[in-house]
Order: sequence, then C-alpha cells, then structure tokens
Amino acid sequence: MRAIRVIIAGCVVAGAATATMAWGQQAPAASSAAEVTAVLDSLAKDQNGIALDAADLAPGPRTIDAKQHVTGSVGAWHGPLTVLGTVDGNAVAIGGDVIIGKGARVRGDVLSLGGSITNQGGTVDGETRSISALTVGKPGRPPLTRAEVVRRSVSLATGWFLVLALIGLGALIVARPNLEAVADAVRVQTVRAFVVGLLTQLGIAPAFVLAVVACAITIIGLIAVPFLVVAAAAAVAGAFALGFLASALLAGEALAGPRNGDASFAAMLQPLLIGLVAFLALWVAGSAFSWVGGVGYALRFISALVTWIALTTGLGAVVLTRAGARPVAPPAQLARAPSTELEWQTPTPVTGVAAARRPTPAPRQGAGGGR
Amino acid sequence: MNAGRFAGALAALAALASAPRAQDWRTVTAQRGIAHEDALHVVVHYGDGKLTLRAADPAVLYDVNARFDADDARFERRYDAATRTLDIGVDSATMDRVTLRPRLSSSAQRHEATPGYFTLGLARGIPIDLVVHLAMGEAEFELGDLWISRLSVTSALSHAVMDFSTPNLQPMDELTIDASVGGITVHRLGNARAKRVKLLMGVGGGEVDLRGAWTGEMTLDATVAVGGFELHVPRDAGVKVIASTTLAGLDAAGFTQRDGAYYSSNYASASRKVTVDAHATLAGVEVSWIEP
Repeated sequence: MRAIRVIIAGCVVAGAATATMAWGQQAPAASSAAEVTAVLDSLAKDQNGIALDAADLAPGPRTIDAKQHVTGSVGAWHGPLTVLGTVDGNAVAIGGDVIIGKGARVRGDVLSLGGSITNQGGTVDGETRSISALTVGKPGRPPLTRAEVVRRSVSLATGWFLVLALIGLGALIVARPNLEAVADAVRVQTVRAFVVGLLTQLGIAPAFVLAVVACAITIIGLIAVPFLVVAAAAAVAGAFALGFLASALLAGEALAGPRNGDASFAAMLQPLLIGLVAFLALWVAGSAFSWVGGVGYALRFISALVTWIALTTGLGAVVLTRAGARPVAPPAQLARAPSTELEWQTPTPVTGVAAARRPTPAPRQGAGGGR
Repeated sequence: MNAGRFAGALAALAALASAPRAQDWRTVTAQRGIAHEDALHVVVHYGDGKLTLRAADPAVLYDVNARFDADDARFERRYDAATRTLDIGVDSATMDRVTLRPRLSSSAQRHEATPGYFTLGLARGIPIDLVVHLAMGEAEFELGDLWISRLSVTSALSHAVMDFSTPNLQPMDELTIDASVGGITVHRLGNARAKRVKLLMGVGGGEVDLRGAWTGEMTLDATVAVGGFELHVPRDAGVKVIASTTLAGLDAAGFTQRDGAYYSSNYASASRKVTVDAHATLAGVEVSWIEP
C-alpha cells in the first residue's frame, strides 16, 4: 500500500515537473500535435521568434545534406539541426542546437529556441539568434492580476505599519513624555494643531530653500549644506512620525478606552498599537478593494484623507509643543488666577497634601523693599 | 499584551510585507553579418543592469548578448535594412519606475549575483550614428576600433565609463553626453576626433581626458550642476577656458586671465587647441595637464 502511495506521489511530482519544464527541455515523447501547434503559434508571436509552418518541422535530429537545396524553411523539433546545404528560408531548431556547416548557406534567419548556434564556416544572410525561452504573453509591464494588486497594496500598507510600529516602540522607550505631550496637544488644541500643521506643511519647502541659499552664501555655509539637507530631512521625518504616532495614540485611546493618566510603557503601548492597527485597517480595506474601480478609489481616498488629517494635526501639535518639550495643559487643569480673595481662605490640609501657594505680587521697584 | 503574540504578529506581517517577487530570466543572442551596409544608424535603449558596447567581430554588423527578467522587461530589436537602422535594447519597466513609481518589494532581488546585462557589438569599418538612452545601472563604452560619426548618450541614473582606445576613422561631427545623475568618465576623448563636444552633467560630475589623436580646434561645452568636473588636457594642447560659475569655483593653475577667459601659456603656439566653455553651479571645475 505504501509502495503504491510512493509511486502515485512520484507520478504526480513527475507530471508537475513536466508541465512546468521549458520548451527547450521538454521530452519529445510528450509532444502532441496540439503542443507543436501551440509552440509554433507562440514562436510566431514572440518578438524574437519566427514564423514556421508545421509542415517544415520534423521531430528529432535533422540534417540538410551538402547537396540538398531546400526552397522553404526547415525546422527540427527537439533535436539538433545541421545545415550543410542550402536553405532558402529560415533554419529553426526548437529545443535543440543549430549547426551551420562549412559551405552551407541559409538565406533567411537561423534560430535556436532553448539551444545554441554554431557556425562552422557557412553563410547566413539573415540574423542568427538564440533565445532561452519564449516570452509570449510577457510584455514589458504585464498587467497585474487582481491578487497581485491586492497583495502589493496590502504589502505596502503592512510595511508602513511595521515601520511605524517600530518607531512607536522606540518613541515609547526614549521619548514617552514627548509623545504624551504631543498627544495632549492634539487632544486639547485639535483645530489649532491642524491649522499649524497645515501652515507648517506649506512652509517646509520654502524654508528649506531659504536655509540652503543662506548657507550657500558663505564658503563655510556651503560645506554645511549637505549636513543641513540630511538634518532637515531627519527633522521633518521625525516631526511627521512623532505627530502621527500621537494621533494614533489618541485613536487607540478612543477605541480601547482612556488610560486615566497612566503614562507607563505598558499603558501606552496598547492604545498606540491599536491606533496604528486602526489606520492599517483603513488602508488594508482600501487595498482589498483596489481592484474594484470606484469603491477602491473611494476607500483609498478616505484612507488618505484620514491619514493626512492625522498627520497634519500631529505635525501641528509637534510644532506647538516644540516636539513635546513644552506641554500644553488641558483646559480643566490650566492654572486659573483667583477671582476673589476668598478663594484662598480655605483651611490648610493637615493630611500631608501640599496646599496651593497663593501667588504673591512682585515687589515694586523703588518700594524700599520693606513690608 | 502578550509579548510572544505581538512578536509573532510582527514577524508574520514582516513576511507578508517582504514577500519576494518571482523573476523569469531570459537570455538572447542575436547576430547579423554585414551585407551591403555602408553606414549604420543605431538606437539603443537600456533600462536596468549593465550595458557594454564595443566593436563586433569583423564582418559582423551587430551582435548582442542579453539577459533580462521577462516579467519586467522585453528584449527588442528591429533592423530596417532599407534605412540601415538598428533599434535595439531591453526596454524595462524600470524606465517608468525611475520617474513614476519605485517598487519596494523587489529591490533585494534586483541585486542578485548575476543581474541583467546587455552586451552589444557594432560593426567595424562603417560609419555609425549612435544614440544611447540609459535609465539606470552602469554602462561601459569601449569605442575603440569603431567609426562613430555621431554619438549621443542620455543617462538618467547611471554611471557611464567611455574609452576611445583607438582613433576614430574620420572626425566625428558632434558628441553629446547628457548624464542626469551618476556621473561620467571619458578616457582618451581626443581619439573621438570630435569637432564639438557637449557634456551635461547633473549630479555626480565627470572626469574627462583629452588624450588622443585630435587635431585642429575642438570646442568643449561642459555644464555641471552638483559635483565636480575634471578635465585633463595633453600638455601639447593649447587651452582656453571660458567659465561661468554660480556658487562654484574654477581651478586652472598657471592659466592667464584676459578678456574674460583663461589661457594656457602655450595657447598661441599650440598646434591643436581646445576651447572649454564651462557652466558650473555648486560644482568645482578643474583643468589639469596629462601626458599625451
């Protein structure tokens, strides 16, 4: 029983191998009239192929003798073609070599598909060429299949997600307070951050050009131009990344629930990844339907719009908070000047909680410094 | 979050994102003998890989040996015997990718051990009007033993090395090299015997030596944007440099300035002379001497 299985498996493997073999390696025994017709049809369509009539083709090795004069073309199917006489047409070997003997003459082209050509002193009026395999149906840019389109789009979206996830992990490790501060700015001053982000995007290119020109005025500055270019690119990319991560963090909090002020690594990692996955899901949805014209475009437009808004708002928040170095406190926690004197007349806690300090006016100049 | 699951998910996503693209390599050789051709017009297109151009064996009009990815490119060649025009090359989707959409997933595979190549041999002894369009990769032109009547090379993102190892059979009408990014190196340009040479170098600059069997007067227009341009001139040649520089410098040691141009000390007495019209922006132009 086991032996039968092995034999069947062997047959399946052999069959698959035969089916995928190149024409030049195919076994003659496996050839059929349909196969020959298909190959000749492909050979005629191939840009580097040639038109050959099936009647001119003979199976196995073939030799045109020195005294022989063929008025048409000659072909050999899976065997070397040796030309010693004269051929008025083309000489073609499919799956074999072509040998042009001394004194032979081919008035047309000589072609070997899957083999090589040796000229031992004959004359070929046309072109001599060998091609390793047919390329019919494979133009310079073959149209992508539906699966390829989807896979390519999903790969791109996934790649970006991975890059951002890694940057996010790095930001959580080394710049968690900054990320938190930028996220706070996005939450508290959303519209302002968006406007600032938009203006920043519009101003990046002119500012860059101005900086380069300013540097290029002097010799020392000229040397600094390459460094400026690299630094500017890194700064802009970093600002975009930090801003987008802050937006993703907020999106994650909106989906997974608030952190209640917990700024630990573990507490921030989950909403950050959930936020990134949410953006990824948008793009994957757009990618999955990219083969459906209108729906695909609409989904990708929505994905792009949402991502751009998140990027712009995040960038604005980065600018407002100086990359998180100057946090923006939420409105409820903003320090408010006491409106009345009575607000400060509360009993001092006795449980160890620090009491608020009453602001004292700065001493006036010339007041003598005395009370 | 479970760290193991997270790592597994990341690994799976990484595998998905970096799934390699299959390649389908083809090799093609083609050769045609000289019949009655007394001139040849050749247009070469090449997208990605290594291009080598040289003289073919005697009595051969052209011979080509190419390897390319059939999923990505197509080998094309058309020879019109009536107009004696050969249009040949590997037209690759790379040409569009360079300008339109870079493909991220295949970059690793494109740098495999044996990349695509295109080697073209051209006929000796007949005048060849040669036009070459390069997209990216590298190009090597061994133009000795050829009779080039006109040469035009356009390169988008390639580094091209050109060598005129033997003198051109007849003086060349015009030689133009337009290299956007990547730079050019030309050895023994004097053997081209070109009356007028135009070099446009975008980013990457170039190095040219004028050794060779040129006579009379040659005009060399060199425009370089970012990088540097080094010109090596045989000691017996007289040099006149007209430089127009923006945020750039000219290094022509030993030259005398008068009437807005720089002259070598032997300019008046030299039997052969070159006038260099250099336009440089953010680049250095250096003229130095070399043994003939």
